[in-house]
Amino acid sequence: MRRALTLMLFLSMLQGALAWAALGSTPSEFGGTTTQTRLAARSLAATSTSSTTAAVYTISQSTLDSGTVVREYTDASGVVFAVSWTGPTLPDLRTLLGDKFTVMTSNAAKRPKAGHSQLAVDQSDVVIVSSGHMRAYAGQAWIPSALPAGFDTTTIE
Amino acid sequence: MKVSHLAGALLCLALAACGGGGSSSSTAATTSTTESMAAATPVVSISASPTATTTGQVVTLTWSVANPTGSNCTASGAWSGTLATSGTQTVTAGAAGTANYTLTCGSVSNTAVVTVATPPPSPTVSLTLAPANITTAQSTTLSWSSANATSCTASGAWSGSKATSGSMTITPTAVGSFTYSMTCSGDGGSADASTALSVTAALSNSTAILVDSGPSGVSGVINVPYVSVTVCRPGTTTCQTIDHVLLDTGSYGLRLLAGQLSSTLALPAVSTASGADAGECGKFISGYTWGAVRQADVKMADEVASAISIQVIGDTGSSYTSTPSSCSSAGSNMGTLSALGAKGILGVGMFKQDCGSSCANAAISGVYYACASGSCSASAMPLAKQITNPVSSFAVNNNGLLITMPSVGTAGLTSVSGTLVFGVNTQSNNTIAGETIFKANSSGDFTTTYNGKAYSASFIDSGSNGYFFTDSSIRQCSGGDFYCPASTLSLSATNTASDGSASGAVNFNVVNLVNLASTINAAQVGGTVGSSGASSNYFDWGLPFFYGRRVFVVMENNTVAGKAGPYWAY
Repeated sequence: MRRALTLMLFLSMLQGALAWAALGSTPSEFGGTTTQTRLAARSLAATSTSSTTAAVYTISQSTLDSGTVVREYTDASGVVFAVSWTGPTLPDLRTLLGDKFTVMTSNAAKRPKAGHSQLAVDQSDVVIVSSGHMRAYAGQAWIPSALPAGFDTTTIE
Repeated sequence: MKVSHLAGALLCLALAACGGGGSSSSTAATTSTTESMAAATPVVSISASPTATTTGQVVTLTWSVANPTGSNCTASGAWSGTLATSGTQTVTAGAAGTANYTLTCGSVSNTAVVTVATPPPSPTVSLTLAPANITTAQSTTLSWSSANATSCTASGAWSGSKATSGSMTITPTAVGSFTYSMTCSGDGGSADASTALSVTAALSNSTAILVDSGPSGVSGVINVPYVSVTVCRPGTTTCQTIDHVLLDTGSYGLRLLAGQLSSTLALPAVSTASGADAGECGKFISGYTWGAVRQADVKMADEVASAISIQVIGDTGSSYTSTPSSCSSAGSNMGTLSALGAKGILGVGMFKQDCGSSCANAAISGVYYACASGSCSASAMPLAKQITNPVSSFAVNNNGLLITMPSVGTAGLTSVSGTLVFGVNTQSNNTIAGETIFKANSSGDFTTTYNGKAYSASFIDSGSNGYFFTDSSIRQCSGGDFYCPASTLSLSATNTASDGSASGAVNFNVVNLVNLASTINAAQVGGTVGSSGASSNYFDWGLPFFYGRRVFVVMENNTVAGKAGPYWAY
């Protein structure tokens, strides 16, 4: 597997721990199916004059063999607080969502009517959105309590 | 009267020369009676009939000579030869112009003049049928044209006077061979033509769709469209018809629950390129299906997809006993009757395979597997062996389909019957008429604009049981992601083709799901596709969109009505 790393100097703690990580956990190796890993970082400036706190986090992006792109958002302490995916195949959501995977699988049972819908979980401990159709999927998940201060979830790609 | 006779006789006696010159003028007779008797001048008479004709036509010449000086005359001019002093002869008119038929007898000539015109050209006529071989469900166009004709008459399979050129649409009512003939006439003659139309019996290309409470063992379904599918061991008459298979425009290929298949079918396993038994994972937003790839002839109406790959969900073969974790990682297991709400899924969307070229080129995690003794590892899978949308493998009517459903009011209905028609613009029952074409991108998506926001990954999915879109202002039902508005909502969105070639508003209703009577299985319901904090690009036009519409699916690599698929038309 090829792996291209761009190391961010101010986030040296992530060195050697790239690739997918379970939501809510520290980064860990995932599968080994990535063909490319890109590390990026953003410093999200506060948009309010009343706040001077900058949200600092990294986005690592993996492109699977199928072409599906997976992104993980890691905070300054190395915890993955958000993940997203988009592409023709679904990624391994068990690994990507960590212990929140069971929240997703149990959600279907709560529906008032059986059938086949898109998936939207909006709980205090986790938000999971999964939508699309075969050959075109997209989704994202985050832990509300773990978001860096000032982080806007609508910026998750 | 007696007085005049007497006078004539007296005059003759007085002149004493009334012999042969009865027709001569009295002056000639009086000036030289003896000379006239010795050398009478020949008088040549010649006439032609007709005196005006056209090249190649026959002209009759008639002549005689009074007072001939010899026994022969000579023809010159437009004819020649030696002729008797009287007679009749036919000649053929030569080149256009003036033809002089001169007869010379002795020293005297006379000429008959015939005016020869260029003849009118001969008529021609042609008849064509496009196409010449059709079924009773089709129409064809008969076109004809003629030249140098003033009237045309039809015979054979049609009759009556026709214009000298034209066309007509023929819609046959019976099987057989029909010959269309035509005769066109003009100044230059007439011409005939004929052409034969072959009409064969139409294959049935449609089957029923039923939205009801589902198969026995399923409860609480809503907006699930079911069809019946027949599967056969390839090339044999060992077949089984499976009812209550979910009709899904959001997936590709047939998946059937193993528990619904008779063991006598014994569908053969499909192997990977390396020769291992092929397993497959079908991933959906609401869960996964795991099972074997097997080969079957798939039949609906009179259409047959021969020896295609299907998924047998929960296959009991020893190769497939363990579900790979990279498959179950999609979510919940849908591979039971109660979880699926159906006996299988018929994926008839815009694509021909469930994965496509990426799975042919590499071992993609979570799709195809090479299995042996219950252990499976990701494997590449050639296109021809992938789970195949049966429509693309039909012999005819294989470019897409049409789904027609009746309207459903805000109170909902306990059941709804619709029609699934195979092919687009291939027969009279699947022709795009007033519908608008919405080109889809390579993912099968277009753009929906709702509440001022453009959702660029929108799609039409009969396998989704509601409208799914993001609107945080609509109250959700407790414990679920469906909407439960206090009263029926009348909403509007605008769909735009992915290439910008068309757009149009869609008005739709969302009713309170929980307030529906328990017997309702078809209703205008919806749900959320995300949190207000998510950046979703999806607007899922699920089954309620199909109610009261004709929705066409044109598959990839097909051009229909001048537009290349994949596209929707409604």
